[in-house]
Formats: sequence, C-alpha cells, structure tokens
Amino acid sequence: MKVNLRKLVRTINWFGVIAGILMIVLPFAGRWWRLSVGTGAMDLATSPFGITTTAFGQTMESTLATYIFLGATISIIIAGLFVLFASLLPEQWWSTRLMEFGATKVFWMAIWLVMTPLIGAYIVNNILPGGQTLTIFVLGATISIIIAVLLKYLSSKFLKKWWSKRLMKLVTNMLWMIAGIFIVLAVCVFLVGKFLPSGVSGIIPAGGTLNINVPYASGSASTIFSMNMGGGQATLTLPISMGLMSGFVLAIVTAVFNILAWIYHPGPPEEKKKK
Amino acid sequence: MKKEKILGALLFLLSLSLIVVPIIAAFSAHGWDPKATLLGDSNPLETQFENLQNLDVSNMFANPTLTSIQGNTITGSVQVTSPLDFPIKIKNVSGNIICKDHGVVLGPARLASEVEFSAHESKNLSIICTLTQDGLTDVGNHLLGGGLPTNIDVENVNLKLDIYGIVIEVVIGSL
Repeated sequence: MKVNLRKLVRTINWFGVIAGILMIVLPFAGRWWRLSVGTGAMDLATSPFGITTTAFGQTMESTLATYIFLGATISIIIAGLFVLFASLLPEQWWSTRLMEFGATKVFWMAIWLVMTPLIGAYIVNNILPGGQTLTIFVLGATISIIIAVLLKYLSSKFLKKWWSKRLMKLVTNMLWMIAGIFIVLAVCVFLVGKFLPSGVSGIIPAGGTLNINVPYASGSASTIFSMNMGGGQATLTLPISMGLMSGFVLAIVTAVFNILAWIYHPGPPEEKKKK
Repeated sequence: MKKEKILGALLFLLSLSLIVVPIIAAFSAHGWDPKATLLGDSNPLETQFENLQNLDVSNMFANPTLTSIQGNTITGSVQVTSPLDFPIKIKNVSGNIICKDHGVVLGPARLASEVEFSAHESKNLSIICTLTQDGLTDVGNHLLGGGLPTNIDVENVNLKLDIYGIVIEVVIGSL
C-alpha cells in the first residue's frame, strides 16, 4: 500500500494539478484588459469570461456577449477539470486526450487578448490612413506558412520524443497564427486601397482633419478630429487609454503551468513506449 | 484506439456546442432580432448620441450682462443651460465683448474659472474682460449716463467643453 501510494504520487503530473486548479479559478479572478475613452465617456474591462462596459455613465449589456462569455467560462472550467483528472491519473488511456483538450486553451486566450488590441491599433493607426502596400504583408504570410509547413515536416521526420513533438506543435500553431494575422492585415490594406483610396481622411468633409492615434494594447494616446462648422472650426480631442489588468497576470501563470503540464505529460505506458 | 477516437470526437462536439449553443440561445432569447441580441433591448448610447448630435452650443447661452468694474477689468455674467442628459464641464469661453450701442470692442474676455454642469442644469458663468482704451472710453461714457453698458454681445467666441474627458473646442460667431 505504501509503495502504491509513493508510485501514485510519483506519476502525478504536478504542473497539471496546479494548472487545472488555476483554470477553474481563472474565470473569477477579474478582468484582463481595459479600455477607456475620455474620463467615463466609455470604460470597458474585459477577459475571455466577461465584459463590463459603461458609456456616458450608463451600463451597456449585450445578451450575445453575455452568453458567449458564459460558454467560455463553462468551457474553461470543464477544461480545468479535465486537466486536473488527466494529471492525477496520467496513466489512464484518456489522460492524454483530456490534457490536449484543456492544456493550451488559456495560452491561446491570453495570446488573442493581447493580439486583438495590437492588431486593431495597427489597423487604425497605420492602415486606415492609407498609403500602405500589400507586399510586406503577403511576404510575411508566405514566409510564416513556409516555415510552419517546414517545421511540421521536419518534426514528423526527426523528432522522436513526445515532449519535443508537442513543443514543435505549439511553435507551428503560433506560426499559423502569425500567417493568419498577416493575411487579415493584407485584406485590410486591400479593402482600404479599394474603397478608401485616400485613406480615412478621404471621407472627412473639406477643411477637416483626422489625426488618429490609438495606443498599442497598453498606454495612452489622443485622436484629434477637426472640421469646419459654420465658418468656424470645431476640434474634438479623444483621449484613449488601455492597459492590462491584474487578472491577466494569473492568466499568464496559468498558461505557463498549462504548457509545462502538456509538454511534460507522460500519458499511458504504451504510448510512452510507442513514442 | 477506437475509444480514443470516440473520446476525441466527443471532446470536439463539446467544444463546438459551447460556442454554438450560447449564440443560438442569445438570438432565440431576443426573437432572432440581431440588433436587440447584440445591443440589448434598450440601447442607452443611442439616446446619448442623439442628445449630442442635437447639441446647439449657441442656444445654451442667454444674453450676457456686465456686473461690475474695477480698474480696467470689467466682470460680466452669462446664464448657461445645459441641454444634455449627462454632466458637462465648460473649460473656457473666450471672445471679444462688444458694446452694440456704439459698435465698440470693449476688450477680450475669458471665463473666470471652469464650471461643471449636471444634466439640464442652469448656472451663471462669470466672465472677466480686460478693457481696451476704446473700451475704457465707452464704459466711461456709459457710467456718466448712469450705469454699465447693457446692450452687449460676445463675438468670435471660442468655447471649450469637456464631456466625460472628450474635449470639444468650437468657434461660434456670437453668444
């Protein structure tokens, strides 16, 4: 009995146990990112599990967003339980599958939460004013796809250890994501070139100017819009600030434990032998 | 191997249903109305934007009056009523005070200090004007007649508003 207990403790994937518990706690640990326009004109705080929006002192609610965030909350709690079970009983036939289901979810959520405002700010600051060419984005997407395909081929040919295969899978998926971002940016450049040849300033009435400046995921900036109004000039200054919140720190810690648990996860003995 | 495949398929279905079911549930809760599903039954922003769009700043101001004089500085007052459903701050009002009786520019004027308004509130703004030489002469003539000029206006008005931290600076002809 003593020997069995020691063996059981030795086989447990402790990274996964911590990751599983953190995943269950994560939806209730606060928002990850905030956006403010002015001082209360619009305040938004979000995470993949919820959003709080107030505009001009009024709270805004969207049923669609509420339900989607509820789905994400349930999804991450289930994934956390799966990671926990898979880590406590790593030699069961289902453990690898359950680990794969849950282990990279928080990692991708954290990546997307940072990438979305970054891409959004890049589009608003650099693509909407016009004058960008497609070349760099098409080249970026092509290079990312070539490297991803090459890595997939090389890892299937040369990598034997299961942990190195999982690590390479993560790197390859990140390259696919980068390729996807380049494609999205290329589509935006194409659409702006097609429908707004002079950029967004082309749709501003004569005499008006628009100086767009949006921070990249974190920081402060001001967008200034001016236009002719009854012979005079009206200027509108829109201060925008963004920042990562405390919940994001826990998300990063959870993602790190998840990735460690996934890479380390031994799986059932026959699988280990096979690998 | 077979049971692993079944488990894989079940996990895929679980992921899919946790994305699809909330979307379907949200739309069905609002009778498949996309706008209501996305923005809720009542959209407070719509009212606020409508409020802002209909804002006519020149209608906010009543006729200015001069209240006192000390040296070459004359103080005036103007009643302002906010037509908005939310608080605003007037950061500055500047322009030239004109005596309409004689067509004389009395001098440049500015707001004494920032004033905050709650929704639909009326307040008197205190305006300070430094009199020019022509202005001093004109006011002196009025004082000899028994009081400060009453038929006045403020021209080339530069108004700076702060609405929830969004700064709007607008030039209007006169108050």
